[in-house]
Amino acid sequence: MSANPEQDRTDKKWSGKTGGTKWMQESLISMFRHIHPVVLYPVVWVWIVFYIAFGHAGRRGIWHYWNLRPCSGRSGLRHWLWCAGNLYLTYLEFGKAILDRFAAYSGRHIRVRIEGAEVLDELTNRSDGFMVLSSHIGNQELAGYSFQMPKPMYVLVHVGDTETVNENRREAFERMGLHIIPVRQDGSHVLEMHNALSDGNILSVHADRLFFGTKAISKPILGESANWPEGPFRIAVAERVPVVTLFMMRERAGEYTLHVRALASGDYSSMQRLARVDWLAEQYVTTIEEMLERYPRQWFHFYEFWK
Amino acid sequence: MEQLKLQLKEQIIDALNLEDMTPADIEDAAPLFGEGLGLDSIDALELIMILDKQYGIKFADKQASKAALASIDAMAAYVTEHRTK
Repeated sequence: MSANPEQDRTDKKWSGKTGGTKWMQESLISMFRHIHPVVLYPVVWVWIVFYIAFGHAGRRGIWHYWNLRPCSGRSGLRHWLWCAGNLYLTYLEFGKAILDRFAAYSGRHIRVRIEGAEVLDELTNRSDGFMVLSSHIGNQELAGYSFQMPKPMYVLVHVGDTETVNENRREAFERMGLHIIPVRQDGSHVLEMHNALSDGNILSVHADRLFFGTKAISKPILGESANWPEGPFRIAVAERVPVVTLFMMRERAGEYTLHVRALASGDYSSMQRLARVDWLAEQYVTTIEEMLERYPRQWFHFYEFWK
Repeated sequence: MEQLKLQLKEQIIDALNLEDMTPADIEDAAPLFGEGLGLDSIDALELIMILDKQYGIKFADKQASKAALASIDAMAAYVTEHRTK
């Protein structure tokens, strides 16, 4: 059942795969056991030029993003150059984030500063579970590898990535005491999610990426309408649990800030069911916009995000 | 059993906000998912919540939950056998 009459099933499909061959990915992991990722930054400066040149969908998506951002009155050629420069720097930031992720797979330490630790402390002291609505801005996955959550955390994962990434993801998750709930065609992951929350644990779900066949909810971001997956918001409302967002934002080489924001307390009693889902989605999008104000080059949706 | 089935239908209509439906529109033996009532996996979560909160039923086994949520008949039978409140 749709929570909103205007919601629709998406025809977009995100492949959900990390780039590079198995050999390249394994080599990176081995290399980072001996060298710091910063040594490979000059390679990234050049490497991303090929991604920009030949990855049409990704380039169009990031170009669209920068065209929606305020650009201080620039127009014509100056605006084009501003967008092009920021497009390159967004790819560069992503390249560095990927290197940091592979460094984490190799066991390398990442320094993490936390903003909003009191939100986590408060929720940890309660006996019931809570949800984390994660996103693809910043280096979300790295949070799982470098920050020990105060309660057991179950992460809903689409099992579409490459063999090397999935294998290392599982190992890195296990090192940090995280549990993976794979999305299954028969919908049986729903029971695991419910059990995780009712046992007082944390459930983490991405709330900004549509997979084939998922129902969508429409909410504007940066002034233009976009589709968001309805599921994560409906789960939170159905379970009546508190909701937070975590943003793992890159500051400099090997240094990140984990931003914890409270989105909802779990008490939706003053709202109708449809309104609760809509309200929660709106809170989530607003929080992403606030984070993008601070870290505009960490928008990592390399496809046409807007309708 | 008939009273329980009616109660389950009312709880489903309420939880899923099926404002244009009445208990009479839901057939006892019709599948709740797919071609029947057309519920999806997150609606299943709502049904699991109903059984948990209203009847004290917790599923550990995926197959058991799948069978129990197949239809109103299946739900009522499962609740009768496993309810703790």
